Amino acid sequence: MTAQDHQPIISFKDFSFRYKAQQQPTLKNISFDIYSGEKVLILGPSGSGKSTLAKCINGIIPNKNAGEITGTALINNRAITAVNIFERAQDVATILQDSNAQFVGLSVGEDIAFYLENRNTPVKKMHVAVENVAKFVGLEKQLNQIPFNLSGGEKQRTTIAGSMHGEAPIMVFDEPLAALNPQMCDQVMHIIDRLNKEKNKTILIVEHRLEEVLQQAVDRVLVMNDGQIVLSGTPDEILASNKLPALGIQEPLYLNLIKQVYGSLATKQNIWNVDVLAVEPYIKQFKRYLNQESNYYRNKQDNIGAPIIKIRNGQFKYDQRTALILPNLDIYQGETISLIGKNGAGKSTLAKILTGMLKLQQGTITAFNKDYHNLTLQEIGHNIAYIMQDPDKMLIKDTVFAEVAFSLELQNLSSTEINERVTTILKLTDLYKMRTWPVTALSYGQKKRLTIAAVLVLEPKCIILDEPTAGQDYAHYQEIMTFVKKLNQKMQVTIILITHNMQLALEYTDRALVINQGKIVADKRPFEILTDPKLVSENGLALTSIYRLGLKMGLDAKKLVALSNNRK
Amino acid sequence: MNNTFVIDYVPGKTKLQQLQGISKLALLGVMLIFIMISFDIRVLVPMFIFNTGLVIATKPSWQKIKGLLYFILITNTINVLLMYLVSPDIGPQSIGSKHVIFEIIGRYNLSVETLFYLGVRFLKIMCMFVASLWFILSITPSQLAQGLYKLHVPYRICTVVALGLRAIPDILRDYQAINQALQMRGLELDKRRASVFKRLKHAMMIVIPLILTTFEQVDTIASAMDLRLYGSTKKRSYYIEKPLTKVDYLALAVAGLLLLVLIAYCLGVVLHTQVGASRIWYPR
Repeated sequence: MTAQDHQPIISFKDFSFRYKAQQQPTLKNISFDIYSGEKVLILGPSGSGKSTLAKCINGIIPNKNAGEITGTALINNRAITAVNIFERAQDVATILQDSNAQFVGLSVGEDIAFYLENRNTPVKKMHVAVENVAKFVGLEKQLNQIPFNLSGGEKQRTTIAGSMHGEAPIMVFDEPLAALNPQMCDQVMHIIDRLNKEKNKTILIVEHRLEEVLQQAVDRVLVMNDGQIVLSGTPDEILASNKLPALGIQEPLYLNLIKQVYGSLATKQNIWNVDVLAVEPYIKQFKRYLNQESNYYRNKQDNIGAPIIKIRNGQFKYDQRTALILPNLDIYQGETISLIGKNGAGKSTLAKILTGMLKLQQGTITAFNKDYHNLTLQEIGHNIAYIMQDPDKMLIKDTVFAEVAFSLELQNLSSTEINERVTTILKLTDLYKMRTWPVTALSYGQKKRLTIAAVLVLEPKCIILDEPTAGQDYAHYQEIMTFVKKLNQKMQVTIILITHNMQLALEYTDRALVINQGKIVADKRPFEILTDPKLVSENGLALTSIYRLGLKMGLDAKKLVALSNNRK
Repeated sequence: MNNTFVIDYVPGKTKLQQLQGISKLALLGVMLIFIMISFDIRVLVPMFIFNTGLVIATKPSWQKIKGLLYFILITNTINVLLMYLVSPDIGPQSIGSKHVIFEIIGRYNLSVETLFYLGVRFLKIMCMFVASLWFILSITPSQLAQGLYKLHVPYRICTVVALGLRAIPDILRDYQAINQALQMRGLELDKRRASVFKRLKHAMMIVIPLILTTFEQVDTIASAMDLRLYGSTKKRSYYIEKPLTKVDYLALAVAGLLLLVLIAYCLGVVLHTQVGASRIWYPR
């Protein structure tokens, strides 16, 4: 479609916005046009202003969040300052980031119907409409399910279905992939693509996970940084610009590898997805790359010690039918392990058993040869630390120093000893300069680091992190994980990650436990799991793009994944 | 969801649970008023039997109700004992005659009238409990909201009720997660190691992050509701609303009948000059 054909459906001209409570504008001199039927990705790191831009489009700004606006912003030919939030909803349907918190109804059906209920739609008509949209997203058999039993992907699809009723021509997706495993990402991106093609919706996707979004074609990408649009173009143009890493955005893995192996890109066309990429120019170089090393099983970490946690004949029953069975499991000092599995497969349960939050009904679990049965959580906490996904749930003190000192104060240690130990930890975690800061003044990544510092002060031998990178952009993700890796290497702390981010498992762990229907179905190196099509499809995972690249080149794809991983 | 939680989120399979919200609300409303205004064993005994029957009709699991039942039994017993300690002659005072069974010490003696009075009082509270219990066991938050709306309660209030009940399990889960994470950071909440006082003091610390995270969630859900036009119209419809069934009409008929009996009863009380709620019916 050509831009000259018709009026833009969204048009921003020299638009700036400053939140009432802030000194500096969050959006600065933004100009862009989006045309009806386009599918546009708004890409940018956290804090780049992309969510604020989405709020301007869906009417939350200026109707709910007040602030100062300069310039113009027209949506469907009406200025954003001229309509209230309900009128705006006729133009724009929004799918918010947190699919759990926005679940209003008490069942899938009710939640999908919420919009219709609010418009006082007659009940019979409502049921027909709900069934129609539920079919579109593939949830027609789950209308009676309650939110507690749904996976992240099902919740996301429920919300999408619920936003389809108003026939709004524009749909805005605010980080739709934040909490999803690779398979669900694919499903959701596929539904978004169908909304664009079959229902002719104009689609705006706000995301920082570029490679996952590009599983399906996108017309245009707007890259935001520091409140401005710094790049704009087709996915190919954006990827060929080589500017993404500097902006804190992760390049697709296959492109990154090609640049490393081949030195540059042979062509700037059709590079947005492995499936459309022409691989011929690169094959020779890749063959050489694969041949230079014969032993691709990088030696296991040399700093692995004795087993610290042992489970023998363990069993945990949820109810009559389902149970987590753990015949024999050893976790060694200094290991890095990822726990992988679908929602409800049992990975959180295993983590809770390792921390002592849940007790085995059969068998034994010991840490440093002490049986958990005789220990309280507080005592287990001296050896094994647990970091929740949301740092706000773990932080209870006013200042950074007090937060780290908390655990030691409970032990009635002398103030000199507390001072000494807290200072050591703060220096180790690079928080020493902020020791007097209020906890609320920290960024998300700093808070996460603080939660780790707060447990580290107890000198645990093993740290379990629940989804340490969920919802984090690449820069923050790297910041957190580099730090965790350092702890592992310098202090021989065992690291266990619960995650559905496969790149994380691949890059930062040497052992992966895959859990499916209450059993550990694989206990291998992460790259072996991610290159096993059967394991991948049964456990909600996806084959990495590097593997697909290797297959397309007709090379040893498994070795390619292993080698590319070793380089890091 | 853990099955010891009292509120259900999916309508159960029994006839009572399948009733529409308005039928359950009407039945509960009439019976609660009746129980509250009467101090009359002729009303309370049938009410108790009927409501206990309704509780059984929801086929509750013993796990689910035993905690509540013990709690009410214990507090109610304490209540009655305290009442006796404060005024051992409460029975004779409100009934007007006194037949002492045996003297205990000083002004404390046990009379037939006091025993009867305290017994009725005990029964009255148990009646209210079983009436509330079948209602709680049989209604989902959505049915409650829709039922209230049918009774012309403004829908904003209905939504607050439904969302509040919907949030309870989330908040409980958050509470438990925060609690356990803090225990691992050295907060001793295990009864094997810390005193009750210490545990209470420590438990208070959990409240801070809990409130903060809850506020955040409230903000998100408010935005989500606005974006889906909540509050844009005066009236609202409910997805779960179904046409009334025969059982619904039966329940409404029983409620109507009870209302008539209630009115007749009130008139009777007035005409027989037994005015005043503290007056108690006593067989003579």
